[in-house]
Amino acid sequence: MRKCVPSFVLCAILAFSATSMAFANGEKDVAESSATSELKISVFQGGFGREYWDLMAERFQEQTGIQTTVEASPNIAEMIRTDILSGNAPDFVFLQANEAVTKTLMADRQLVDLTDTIAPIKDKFVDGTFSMKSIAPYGDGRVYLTPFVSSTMGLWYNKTHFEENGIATPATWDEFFALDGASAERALFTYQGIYPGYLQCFLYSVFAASSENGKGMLDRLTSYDPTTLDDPGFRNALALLEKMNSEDLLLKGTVGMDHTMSQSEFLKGSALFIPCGSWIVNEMADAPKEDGFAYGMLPAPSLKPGMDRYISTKFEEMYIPSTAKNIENAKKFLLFLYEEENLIEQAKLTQGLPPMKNAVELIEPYVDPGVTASLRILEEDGVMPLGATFTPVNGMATNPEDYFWEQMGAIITGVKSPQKVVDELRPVFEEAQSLLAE
Amino acid sequence: MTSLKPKLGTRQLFIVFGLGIPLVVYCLFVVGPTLSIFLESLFRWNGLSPNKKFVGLKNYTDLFGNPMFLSAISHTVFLLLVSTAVTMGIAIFFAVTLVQSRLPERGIFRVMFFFPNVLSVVVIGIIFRYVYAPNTGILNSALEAFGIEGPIWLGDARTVLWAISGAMVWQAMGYYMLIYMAGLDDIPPSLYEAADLDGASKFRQFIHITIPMLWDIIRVTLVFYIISSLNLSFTFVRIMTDAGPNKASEVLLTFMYDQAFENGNFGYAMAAAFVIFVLSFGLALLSDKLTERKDF
Repeated sequence: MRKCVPSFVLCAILAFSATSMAFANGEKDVAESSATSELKISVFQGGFGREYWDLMAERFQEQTGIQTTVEASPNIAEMIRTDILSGNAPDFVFLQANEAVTKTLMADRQLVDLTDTIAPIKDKFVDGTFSMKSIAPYGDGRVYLTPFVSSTMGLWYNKTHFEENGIATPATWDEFFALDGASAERALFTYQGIYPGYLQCFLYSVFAASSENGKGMLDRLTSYDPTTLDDPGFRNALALLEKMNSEDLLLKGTVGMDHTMSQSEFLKGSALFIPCGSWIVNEMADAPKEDGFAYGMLPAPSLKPGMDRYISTKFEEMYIPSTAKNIENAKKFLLFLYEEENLIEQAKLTQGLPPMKNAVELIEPYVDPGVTASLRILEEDGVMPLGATFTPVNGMATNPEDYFWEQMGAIITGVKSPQKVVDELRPVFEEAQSLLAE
Repeated sequence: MTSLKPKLGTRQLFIVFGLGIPLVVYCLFVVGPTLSIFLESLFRWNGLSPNKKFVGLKNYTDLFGNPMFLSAISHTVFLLLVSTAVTMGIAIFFAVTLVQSRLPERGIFRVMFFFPNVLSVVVIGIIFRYVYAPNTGILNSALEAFGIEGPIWLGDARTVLWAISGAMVWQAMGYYMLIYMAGLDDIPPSLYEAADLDGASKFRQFIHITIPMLWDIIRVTLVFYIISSLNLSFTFVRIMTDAGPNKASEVLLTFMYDQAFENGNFGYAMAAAFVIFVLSFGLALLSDKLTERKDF
């Protein structure tokens, strides 16, 4: 017995090691031999579901013979993180640019340069698409992410209510504030209170339209240039937020509501305006609405009549990690997704399309008129597209982007004055800028 | 070496074997990860990059210089103190009431009070988000019926932690009540009969018989509750407020999670994790020390 136990344990360890090595070698062999005929795609399974991705994988496999597997999950970000750390990075990823994993990969330059891949089809996209920060993050014109779906963000209102009551949509902030009390029992404004990040749905446009050089100021702001905090245009925008609180224009209780609650209140007619993206139409499809409700979207008002107004556009992005094993297959798959017959399938199954020049025509038969209206808004005179996003920064104790939106929430809810917010933002901007300079 | 050989009999080998396996498992799954967390906390790393930069204890000095971390500590301690005191107080009160009153509906009450414990914490968080909803929530609607305008429970820095404590108490109360009821069943009725004969009031019986007899159970449940509510606070905060408004409900675990998975600041988050480990260990030891049995 005395001799038997250690021998048994030793044998077991040896057997286990040998088996593990055999399995490991087996896996390695398979991976090596099939490096050119496999594709693993990892996709975020949110509002767009996974049906579209399964269909594309099946079609791509039929067409090319490349074994394509789909990993889809609402928690895909964490799965991708684990996959990358274990040396098994996905070949192709669909995950927003503002997700932490994507931001980390961007900040760490771990994405494949797609500039040459996308070059042959670049003209099919709306002008300016590939110069947006979420697509070309380093400001050198090189493309590292491509758009899956384009959404517009602005101020939503109930079109029927405005038309029936003869209320004109506001073009300037004076007209906007004059609407307070225009409808009995409706507050002027609500937003997704506990998630102040939603304020970007209209605040980027507010910053851009708050001075003659608002767009230039916005570029400096999103690169954490501390001098922006003293820019008169930026201060104008903060004063507008302060006014929302000081004149009691917010729907009561907004600050404690999540996105579902505030959006439901808006749909039931408790507030005239809410900032959100075109996804609200699908997100709230089953929510109760006041009689005759019809979605209408506005760009944020401007300071003076005749000034340009802006609509923020937001993409859901796709990219290829630089540690992927099958980069060429992933590039082929990316181009495959942008083929017209596949775009039609995308419109049918996801009710969304990338910012292609013919996107509105392609998508119109398959979506709620509210979505089409939110896309057509860019065809209006004096309305300019805006692709703003904060530059990702790694290594800060305070997430500067989240902190910025929390401070905007603090002004609109009256917790802090604009000056206090500026004073508190300044050291955060300075640290972010110095880290970006590194 | 040869002199030791004769001493290693089957019994000793069994002891070594029996203790060795748990020790190896403990080292692998507790000591190892804890050490690895500490080692990771000495680096600046974004959690994905192959490059890590050794920064020594800088993550710790940054951490204690960060007002958000310090306020996360104070929020966590607030939740632990308030929810522990209220949960334990109510659980003992209901347990004693149900056991001593000998109500025929005792079984029904027991099930009713235990019911929240069967629900997922996420579900309870969502339920309470609607309970506290500013305009449509049941709480403010009830207050309105009495002519009181309720606060914005989850949107006001002054009320948000109290509101989260409420959900934590509701979730845990029934579980601890059941444990105390089981403990109360073991107290010999003769003690109460003797006290009755001596003319002791129900309150004196509670203080001088019930509490001392339950004391060992109370000590254990206190440690359980402190550890579990540290974890529960993460889920409740995540679901109910997302640490808002303006980080007024940020707790240690949400701070750590956000740093690691939202802010790409893994080394820093590991420093926070190590501090949380030390803190929870310290709190458990402290509660054990403070509740050491004394003469009643």
